[in-house]
Amino acid sequence: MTDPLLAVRDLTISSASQTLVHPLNFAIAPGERVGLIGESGSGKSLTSSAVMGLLPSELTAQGEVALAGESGNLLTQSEKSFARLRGSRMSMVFQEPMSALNPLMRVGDQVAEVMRLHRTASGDAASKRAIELLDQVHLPDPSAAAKAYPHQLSGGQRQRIMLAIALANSPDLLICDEPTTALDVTVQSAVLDLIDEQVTARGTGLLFITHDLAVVARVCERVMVMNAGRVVETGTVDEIFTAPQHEYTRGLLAASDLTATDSRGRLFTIATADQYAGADQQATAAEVPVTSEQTHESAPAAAPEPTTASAPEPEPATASGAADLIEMTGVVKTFTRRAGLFRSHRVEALKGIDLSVRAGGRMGIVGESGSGKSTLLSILSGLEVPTAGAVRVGDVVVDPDDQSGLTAMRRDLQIVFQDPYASLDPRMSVAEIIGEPLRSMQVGRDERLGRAEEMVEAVGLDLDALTRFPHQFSGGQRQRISIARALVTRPRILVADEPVSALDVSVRAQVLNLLADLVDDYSLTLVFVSHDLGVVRHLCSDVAVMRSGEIVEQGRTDQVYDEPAHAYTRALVAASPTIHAALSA
Amino acid sequence: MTTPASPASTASAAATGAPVADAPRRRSRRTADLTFIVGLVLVGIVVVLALVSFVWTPHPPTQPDAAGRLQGMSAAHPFGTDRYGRDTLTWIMLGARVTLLVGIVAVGIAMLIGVPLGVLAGMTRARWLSGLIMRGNDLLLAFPALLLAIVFSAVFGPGTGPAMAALGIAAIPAFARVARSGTLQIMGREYIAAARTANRTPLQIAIQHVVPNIAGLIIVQASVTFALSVLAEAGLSFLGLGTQPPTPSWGRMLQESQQFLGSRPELAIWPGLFIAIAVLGFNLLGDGLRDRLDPTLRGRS
Repeated sequence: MTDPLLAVRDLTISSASQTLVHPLNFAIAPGERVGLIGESGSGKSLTSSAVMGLLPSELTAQGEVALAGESGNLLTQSEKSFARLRGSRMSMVFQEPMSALNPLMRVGDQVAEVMRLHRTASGDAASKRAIELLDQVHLPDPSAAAKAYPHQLSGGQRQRIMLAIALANSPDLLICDEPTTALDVTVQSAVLDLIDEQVTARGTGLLFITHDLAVVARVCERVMVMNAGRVVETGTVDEIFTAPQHEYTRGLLAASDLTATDSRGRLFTIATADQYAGADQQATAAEVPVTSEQTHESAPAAAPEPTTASAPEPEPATASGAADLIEMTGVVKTFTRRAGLFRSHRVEALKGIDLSVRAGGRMGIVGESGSGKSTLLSILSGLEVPTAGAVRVGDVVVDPDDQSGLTAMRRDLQIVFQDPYASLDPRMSVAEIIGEPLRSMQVGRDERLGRAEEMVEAVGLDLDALTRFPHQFSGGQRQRISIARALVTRPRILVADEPVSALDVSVRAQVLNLLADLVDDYSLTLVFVSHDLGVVRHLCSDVAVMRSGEIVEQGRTDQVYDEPAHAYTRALVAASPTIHAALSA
Repeated sequence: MTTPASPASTASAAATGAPVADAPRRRSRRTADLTFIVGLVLVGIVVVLALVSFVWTPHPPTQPDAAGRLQGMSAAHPFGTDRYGRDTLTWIMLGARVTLLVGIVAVGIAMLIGVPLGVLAGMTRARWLSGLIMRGNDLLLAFPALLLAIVFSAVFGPGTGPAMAALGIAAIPAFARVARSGTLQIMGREYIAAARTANRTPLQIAIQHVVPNIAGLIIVQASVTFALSVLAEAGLSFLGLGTQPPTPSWGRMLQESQQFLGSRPELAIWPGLFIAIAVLGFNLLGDGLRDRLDPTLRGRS
């Protein structure tokens, strides 16, 4: 083996009182692609910050970080010599492309800046080279793009700019910290291809940090799994994904696999992962050439228990054409934005939506950001007024001017929101939060508390949670509280707006299982909005695919996923990263 | 601050999984604690002086003592005496009452009118209403507080009452603005949408969710306004438009000490010092309180 490009020996990162990263050893060979997987708080970002010399000043790093061609330990280098390396020999792509770019500077200048700073090109040569780089990251019309400001570009385009900046000086090592987490699936797919292509073309070493196992399987050769500040397992992609040794890796893998379920038809969590057969068994058993999305449906024998939870059989009552519980007809929503003093800019968020959900159905709505799915939910719950069209929930026609109708409707329909950090009032105790919907139903204090206790238990929290405040809970626990609040009025319909997109993989499985349990226990009708096709497939019986304010396709989940009729659905299904697809590729 | 962070807060920061994001907060927290304590002590001095003056003063306040005029500091008169031989410490203590009264009433008026207006402007969906409120605000803001107070004293006669009312009214726009911007932020949160889907009325949402969550902003504004009112009252009394004799007031003490600045500068120094203590104290206290009242900081350590 040649000398490693990057060698990290006994790297320990600690704060004044605590060790956050325990002695860590790894090496990256020139041109090697290494993935670092872990959930939030595992220390993966701290590790990359330490390598780049970007640790916050309260944290100290000990150990040794050596970069080929540089003498000595990088950790003991002065800020000045580190600055010489950053952006030239090693560079980084961050998660949030909007906040990583300077909003007041044209992107072409930002690409050129990094070359001017490191004196690899100057003046016009730098600008010219910047346009070349923009061309290499496949921005359409690179010379026009160079003159754009970051806000004029989409998230995926901004991430391409970030990549152009990172690659401008042909670094030997590229660190990507969750580069596609903030992007839509189809965009994510393109950006991953781009990273793949550029890294291969330049022979750059890659350290790819992510929580998404499918992404790692696609981009990397070797994987390190990190948990609570320790690397618990290292191996090639194949080894890790097909024969994981450590139980945490197995748990993570099982929880990420939305196509595998246990004997009750629920997702595996880290706790139940020992029953998980492994991604390869299912992937290899499925001899389906089109897409491995279909694995468990077409190869029931391979799965531990072929499940129907992801697509429950239509109940007899509803199958025979029972009345739809929710009916939206021709819903249009137009926003008018003031673009200047006298001009206004009309945005069509929804362009005539027809959607119906039968009682007891589980409707999934998938779409990328900006597709109008959140607007649709706001209108459904009476928070926004449609520009045209009608919404009927149960017997109530939703009309924001009709308060009593709205009140009645909202007793039947409750929402679980996306962001577990913004959906709970930080100044209210959990008991108050869960009991709040009951207050408007004139339920007395004692009964409110009793029902809050009941719900807290139903969502799997301890009773002492009631007296605590939201900030004392983790994201997954907060989402449980949010679900408890939604169900305390015993609604018939539960609307979930991306309820798991902000959660870690293992927590996501738990919350999805909880939702599935509660939907069964309380015989709820579920409307589930998500950008994640896998989640919707697992949970929903029907699905509607939205794009730019329109429903392009809807139908039974299996049918839409297995035989997508619309080109966009096909693109979406193909772009969704799955471990199976990545391994079989 | 370069001191290392306290162990407890560091551990909790790591536990939430965001040590990086918490880092600046951790540092500011120690400063905030110090700010709070210093503010509390300074305000405490003024409050204690005012309270004690109700039950005990070193000397009777209005007893002229021709023999003891313009004395320096002594055991009998720690702060000296003025030109009528009245004990300066006694007058400082009595002056603290008026200072606090003016602050409380002015802040009370401004807060009780300004905050509801601001919350209303922030919550209403009717653009014209929020426009009306905020433009009315701008109009009021165009009037300097002192000018308004002078007009009031011209109309109603000089006195503590008109001064307090004028200072309070002049401070309404500041409260309304702060309350509105805070409300707009809170209204975008998902828990407001959750409350609306839970059939809570706008008034209930305002009381239950909006006001508690903007309380921090309002407390800071209150402390700044309190400090400004104290300063303004001293200025008005100095001009003879505020508190009238025989009620003791720090501002008037300053004014009366003018002619003795050369011979007895301490007559001006003592009231000036206490005005500074009160103003500084309320400013620091407000800053400290804002951080203390934030439940995301409380309970973490």
